[in-house]
Amino acid sequence: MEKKVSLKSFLDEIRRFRKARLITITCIDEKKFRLIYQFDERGKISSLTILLPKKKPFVGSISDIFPTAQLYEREIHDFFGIEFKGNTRLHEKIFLPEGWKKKPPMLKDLRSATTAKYQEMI
Amino acid sequence: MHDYIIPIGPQIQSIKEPTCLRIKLKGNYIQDARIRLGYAHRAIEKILEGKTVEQGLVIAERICGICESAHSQAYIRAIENILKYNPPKKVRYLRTLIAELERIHSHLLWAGFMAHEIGYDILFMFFWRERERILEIFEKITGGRVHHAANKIMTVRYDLEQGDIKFILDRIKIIEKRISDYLPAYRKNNIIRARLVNVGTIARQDAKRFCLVGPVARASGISDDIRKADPYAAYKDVDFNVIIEDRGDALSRTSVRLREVLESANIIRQLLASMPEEKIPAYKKFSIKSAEACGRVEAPRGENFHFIKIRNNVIGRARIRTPTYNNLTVLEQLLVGMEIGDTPVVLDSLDPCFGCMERVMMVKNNRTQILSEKQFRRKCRV
Repeated sequence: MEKKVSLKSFLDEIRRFRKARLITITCIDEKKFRLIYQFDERGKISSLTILLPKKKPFVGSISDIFPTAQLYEREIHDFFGIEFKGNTRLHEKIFLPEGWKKKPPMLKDLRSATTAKYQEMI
Repeated sequence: MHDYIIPIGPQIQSIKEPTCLRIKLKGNYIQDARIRLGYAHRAIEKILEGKTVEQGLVIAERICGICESAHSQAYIRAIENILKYNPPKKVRYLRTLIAELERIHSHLLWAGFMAHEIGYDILFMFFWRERERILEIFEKITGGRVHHAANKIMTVRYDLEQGDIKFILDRIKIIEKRISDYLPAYRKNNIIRARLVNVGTIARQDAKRFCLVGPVARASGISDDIRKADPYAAYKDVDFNVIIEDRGDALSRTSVRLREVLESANIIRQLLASMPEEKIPAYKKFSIKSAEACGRVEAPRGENFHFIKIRNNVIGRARIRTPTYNNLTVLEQLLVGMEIGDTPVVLDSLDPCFGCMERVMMVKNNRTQILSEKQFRRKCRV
């Protein structure tokens, strides 16, 4: 079941999943950024969705609750440019080259030759 | 003694796949390890955007060369979740057969690498000889030794022909016999024990905290298997055990994988004994306007997770989380305090598959240490 939470109570909500296993964090670029935290709770997938604004998106890091989240947060920071406050290694690039100055490459408004054709459809 | 930093990779013989580990040493001991990825990126998540569902399957199959059917099954499971489609018994059985053959193939390939890593090359050749039998089966029933492309949405591509069941059983019998011989040797041989026992130990609490999956978690005593926890395909119909060891070191991870080979052989035998005599359903066209779904399967390396969002009949976003990426977090912590000579063994014992994991983009230059293409060309001209 999915439900929406305000940013303030977000970390408290995440702590409720402390005993579950974090599967992944999915970021989707829509009208707003949609972050989905997917957990495995005794064989069932539960997810927690938050919406972030397009302008200067930031959210609290969950890497002190789930150490694995550190990699996912760094990946999302590389490709979508979302800030995770509290992740100490966030600005250490994981996939992109050091000193990457261009736009984050997974954003939908970044046109490339292969995706330009489908851009309106997505 | 001076402290110094050694970059290991991205191209080095002892690690078979491209990654860069920067290891900070004091004497012979590792103080800090940092991993850098991005050397095998193909932007699969971006390529998938804008493709139709059928096209997406072709790309999903090509994410990895070892766990090819795990990716296609996870993708298909997501799509079939959207369609609320439950495939007929025969289709489920054939999918499980391919998945289990693939598990044996992957584990034997890995066991060979591990033997090679600790300098036991004869065992490496033995394991790869047995793996060849599985490739023969793949070639006979699907036509492809590596990329068999057996799964299709709502159906499968291949049926078993006459004589195939005997062909598979003969080969499975050989593998079972040989692996049962190698397993005690692996556990008792002094050379192997000296390199693997108490190397890269992951305690149970750590495995839980780091959300580890697959054989790495099971070697630390966590009974976590998607085949049991969230059954798909024909895993409800077959009887099998989840293999668990509790020491959590490199030897446990090895024996978990080898025992899983025997368990998979057991599953295959059950499947073939009760293979239904139905006709495989023909492929039907379908259309999905917009939807979202998750699909996950137990790949040889652990839980393989696909999230697919479809919009206007094409894929709007695909998120693929492979088990290697998940298990990699623990590596940096694991290496601290070890000797540098154990690095390849520890890294290999996690069974990383970087081709699978790195799906995003570009390798250009690492400003401080690696030359850019321009600089490189300029240097070449001089």
